[in-house]
Amino acid sequence: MHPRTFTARACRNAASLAAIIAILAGAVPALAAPGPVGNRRPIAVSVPSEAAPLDPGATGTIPIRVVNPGSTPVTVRLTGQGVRFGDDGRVTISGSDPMWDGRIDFPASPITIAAQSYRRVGLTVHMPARIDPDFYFVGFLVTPLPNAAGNLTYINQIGSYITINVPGPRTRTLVADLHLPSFAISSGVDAKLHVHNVGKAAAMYWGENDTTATPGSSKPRQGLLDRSLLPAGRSRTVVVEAKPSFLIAMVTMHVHIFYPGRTDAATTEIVLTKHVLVVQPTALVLFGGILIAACIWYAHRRRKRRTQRPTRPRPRHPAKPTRNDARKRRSPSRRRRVPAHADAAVRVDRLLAQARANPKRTARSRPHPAD
Amino acid sequence: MLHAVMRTKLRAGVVALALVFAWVLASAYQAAPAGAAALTNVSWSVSNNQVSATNVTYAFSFTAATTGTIKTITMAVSGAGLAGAPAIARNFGVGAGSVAIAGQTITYTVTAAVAVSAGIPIYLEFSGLTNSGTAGSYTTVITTKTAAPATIDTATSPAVTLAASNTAVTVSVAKSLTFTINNTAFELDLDPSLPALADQTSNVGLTVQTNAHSGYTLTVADNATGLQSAATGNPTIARVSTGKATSLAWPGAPNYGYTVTGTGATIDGAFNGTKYAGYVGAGEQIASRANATGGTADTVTIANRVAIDYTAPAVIYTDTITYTVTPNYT
Repeated sequence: MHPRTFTARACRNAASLAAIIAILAGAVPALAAPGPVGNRRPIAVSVPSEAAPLDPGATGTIPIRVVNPGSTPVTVRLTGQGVRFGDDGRVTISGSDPMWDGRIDFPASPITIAAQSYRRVGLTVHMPARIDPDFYFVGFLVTPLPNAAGNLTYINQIGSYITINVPGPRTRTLVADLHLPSFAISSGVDAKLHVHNVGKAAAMYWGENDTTATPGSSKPRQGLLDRSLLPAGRSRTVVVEAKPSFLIAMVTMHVHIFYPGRTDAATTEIVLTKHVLVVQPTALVLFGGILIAACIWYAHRRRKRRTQRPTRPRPRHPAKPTRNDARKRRSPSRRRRVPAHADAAVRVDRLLAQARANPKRTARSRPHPAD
Repeated sequence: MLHAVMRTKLRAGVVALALVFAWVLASAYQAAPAGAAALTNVSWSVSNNQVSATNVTYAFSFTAATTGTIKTITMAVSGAGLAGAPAIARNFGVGAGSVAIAGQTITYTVTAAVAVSAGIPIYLEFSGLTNSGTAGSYTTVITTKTAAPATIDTATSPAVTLAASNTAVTVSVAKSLTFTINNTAFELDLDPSLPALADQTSNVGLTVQTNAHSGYTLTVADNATGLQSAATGNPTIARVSTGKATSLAWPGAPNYGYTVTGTGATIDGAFNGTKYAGYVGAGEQIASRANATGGTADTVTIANRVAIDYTAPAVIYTDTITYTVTPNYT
């Protein structure tokens, strides 16, 4: 046999064997060892920090960045999704948004990002010719393609959105209320500030919480509320706090909410003022301590007075109370209150009782003085 | 004679008193402008210091030196060439108002002027401005005024240099979220003959880190068919419950469900007390956070549990579980 022919045949056989092993290994997932069969997969998605200004009818490209901080390449697919905002910052990415269907160009096929790398992806937006000035949100999903087979396959996907600002005057209306008890036993008070967008357009708001306390600081303490975007029809509840300077103080909270009016060159303000009497627990402890100390002092003083009072010597033969004494001690006023004929009636009763006890005597006989 | 002397002394006393009174009045009159002399902690910064740069944000901050009712605040920038259409990006320390630009002076007018105490920090930020086209050092004279208008306080800011030759450094931090899963697939080999093999759990570790102002929400979903086999009849292992609303303590075999624990994130109350829920094809929220995570990532651990007995056909069951995290940048 020619050496070259032998070598070629050997190579073919080896390749066939390797292919068979590979097919067997890939085709029988049930034979895989139990436990994790995939690897760690981090992904990140970044969007511009500011809303992209786009006029009606304009076309613009908004860049996003898909990052793979992991050690193995990741292949992801980008798809458009609808964005739904809830109260208190809840956001859901799901379904489709008819407003933006067909108006955003996403990459048609999956993109692969090398390990420790990123890809800039431009999302081209075709704005409708007629659209009101407002903020608009375009949602999308970045979904890694499965890279391992197991009974359970896990996919970590990121839903995000880009923000578009159609410039122009708009109707923004916010309402707010401040929930604060009028009395609190605590070291500080937390008030719930509820801001609700009742206007037709999303509104960016910010604010401050100026707190004064009497007694204490007459100069307001500023607490700042940073900018926050509130979509139309949504609300947000934030906690604002105040701390009194003294153990007991009347705290006044002035909360200011600012948001742009019809244009961004002027702002509108909502001012909310609430008062709360704050008693710090330390004050209660101190008061309790003072009360206990006062009670102890009073008891001690009373005991001391008793011990200092001169004691009367006990009589050797204490006088036994007699009926007459007892009668004497009775208040004259009480005696006066008893009707005069009552004594006579008592006397008659006593005589009748004696007569029954000693039937020899007549009921009318008088008792002998010697008895 | 004595009366005359006394009368003279009295007259001198009255005159002296009048003089003292007049001096006090004069001092008081001069004290007001003297007190109004200087705003303190004055600063001025620009988001871009390149000449002729557009859409630049100017930020002014200062502290009121005199208690007064501020109606207008003027910021007169030195030189020439300031332009643009300013918008109010932020205002703290003074009430709502409007902004206008005339020449080199930006004027902020308070809509409903109220007294501002001395020592109150004031911050004004205006966007949409255009820098002067001339390179050089610029300062701004900031003046607070009453409705009269009378000056309450005034001061000149430190200089800002606009240049064409230097490198403008504008740091823009993107809104970002990183979502990590510790393994992407799991193999469970179950055997009904031994309890330890008949009831197994696969833990999935998720971490979330974001600078989103309003935090994020984490939802889970699985295939609509659940844990199902492709074998004849497509047998399934039943979900432990119809969703998180009907979560329950683990009832035993045959069931398939999950429970959630975590740090940093707020885990849905349905999973308190190690209660298990069945996955829902449409997805359900399991964890959330209302603010940015900062430097420490939130961790969420999901324990996927499958328990079988001899009623479960001996075939291979599969499911794909999707974890979706959505940042809220509002």
